[in-house]
Amino acid sequence: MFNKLKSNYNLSNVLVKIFFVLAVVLCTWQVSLGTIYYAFSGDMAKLINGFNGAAKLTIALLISALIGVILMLITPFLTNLFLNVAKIYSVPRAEYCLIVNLFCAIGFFVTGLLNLINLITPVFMVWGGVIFPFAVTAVCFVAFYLVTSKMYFNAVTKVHYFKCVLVVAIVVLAFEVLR
Amino acid sequence: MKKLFLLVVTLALVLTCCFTGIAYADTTADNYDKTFAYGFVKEFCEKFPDRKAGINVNNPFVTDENGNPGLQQYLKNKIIEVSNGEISTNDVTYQEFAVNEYDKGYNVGARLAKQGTNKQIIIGAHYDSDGEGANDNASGVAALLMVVNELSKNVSKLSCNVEFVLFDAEEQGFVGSRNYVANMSQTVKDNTLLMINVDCIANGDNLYVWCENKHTDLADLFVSKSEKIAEKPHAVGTFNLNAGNGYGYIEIPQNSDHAPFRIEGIPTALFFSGTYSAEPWNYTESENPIKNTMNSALDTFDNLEKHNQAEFVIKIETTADVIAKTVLDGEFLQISANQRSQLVNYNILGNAWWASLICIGALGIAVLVLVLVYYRKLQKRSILGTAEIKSSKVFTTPDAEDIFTFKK
Repeated sequence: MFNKLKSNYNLSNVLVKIFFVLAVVLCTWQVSLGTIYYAFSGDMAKLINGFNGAAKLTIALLISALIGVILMLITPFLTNLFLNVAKIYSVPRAEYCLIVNLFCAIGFFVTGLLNLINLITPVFMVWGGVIFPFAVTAVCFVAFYLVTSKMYFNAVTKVHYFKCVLVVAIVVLAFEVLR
Repeated sequence: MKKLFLLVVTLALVLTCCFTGIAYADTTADNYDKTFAYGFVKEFCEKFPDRKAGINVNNPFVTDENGNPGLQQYLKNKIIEVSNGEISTNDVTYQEFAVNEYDKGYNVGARLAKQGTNKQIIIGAHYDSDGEGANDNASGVAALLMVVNELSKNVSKLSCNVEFVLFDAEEQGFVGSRNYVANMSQTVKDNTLLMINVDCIANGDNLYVWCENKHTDLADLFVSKSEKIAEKPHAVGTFNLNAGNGYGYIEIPQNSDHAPFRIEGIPTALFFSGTYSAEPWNYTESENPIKNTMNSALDTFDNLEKHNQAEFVIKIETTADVIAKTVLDGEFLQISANQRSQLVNYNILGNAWWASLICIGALGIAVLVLVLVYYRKLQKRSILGTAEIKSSKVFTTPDAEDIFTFKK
């Protein structure tokens, strides 16, 4: 199966993108639901008769899917920007973008699963919201770096690549905490 | 002579009910428009059809162009009027606060004092509104006045002090209640057993009381006082969202003046009407769309009466009745004192921001140390290693065939 995917870039690309969108939905549906829940109260609720319950959940899932699609489209652009700014020209870009998408999707997916723990049994109700994304993002960056550095960089170029990935990781982690 | 005596006694009873008390035991479709609740909500909406906090009409210390008292002065007079002489002019206070950069708001407070105890409960309702606000929240103010009336008749039976507060600027984000809580000393907070909030009780499909997201003795006590009120269904699932008013989880009943009290650890009970299922997001004022008037220009007295007839009066009376009976219950003091131990705390690790910061900081330092160690290792390897060409690829495609078309 894995070998079949390795030999078929287009299929892998489509599957990763679908996984990416689904993972974003799993990760963000609670936030979308909460946003709708506030946005469609009062006057707005009257505009859409019966707009509650299951309908709100459906629309929340659609909004999350839309966010997923937007993120999926932005990710390759940002990845190319990163490679250009870091002056890294030795990696196959399409493949590298796909790997970025894959690790982002895994990150969203694991965060979504951890958020479900809060939903079912709220052990880390407040802290979990901060620590889960931080920990998952950190682990994903480490895993991503280990995989890509082993594949595309030698002992000399790894130092530069490490510094570049570290800067991006710090920016993303700071955003995770401050948000 | 006997008949004359009976007539006099009957007349005396009727007059007593009409002028000194708020009788509401037998409200029906035939007599609801003669009740205190009906009369007050109608008068309040007619006199003050725009009670948005901060506008000029809210100035409590001036009369309007016809010589009538301003909004807060009117409320003060009403509290004194229904209090059976237990609350005098000096007992009613205004708490001034800034609604925004330009406008001031005023909470109106009154106290029924119980000698020999520092313990108190707070019963509140907001009087500001978006538009006429018949349901949101003239109905709550009416219920609060009825509670004042009932409790003031039974001061000797009270087990603690009762503070009544009519909050301003709820619609601006609980500005009045936030200011009220901010001005409470820690001692007063510790001595406050319970905050009861009454908001939007007249128009929704059901009448609910909500204390915590689980059964509590206090909720059971409230519900036991009337068959017309139910405890809000407990939400299934907890949503960790920033929009949760500081509770750490999200539920629609958090959106009222009790929230600032609950965040300070003071137990709360909210009375509200609507339709609620176990899903945290599944709240609506009514299953009938035309009745969904909250926070809109449709929340008028005419609509409230047209859609509900006697029902809205019964809801107001039930709320007042339940609150008064509960506060006067012999077990109330003990149960409300125990309520602090029954507060839902989803965050078993604590809510302190610094603890969260220390945890993140410790994680960050650990990551930094690992990064430095790894970086030094990389540097050593780069000095000792060879710069061989790495051309690994996961995919056998895209290859040149995918990008270019070759002539064969």
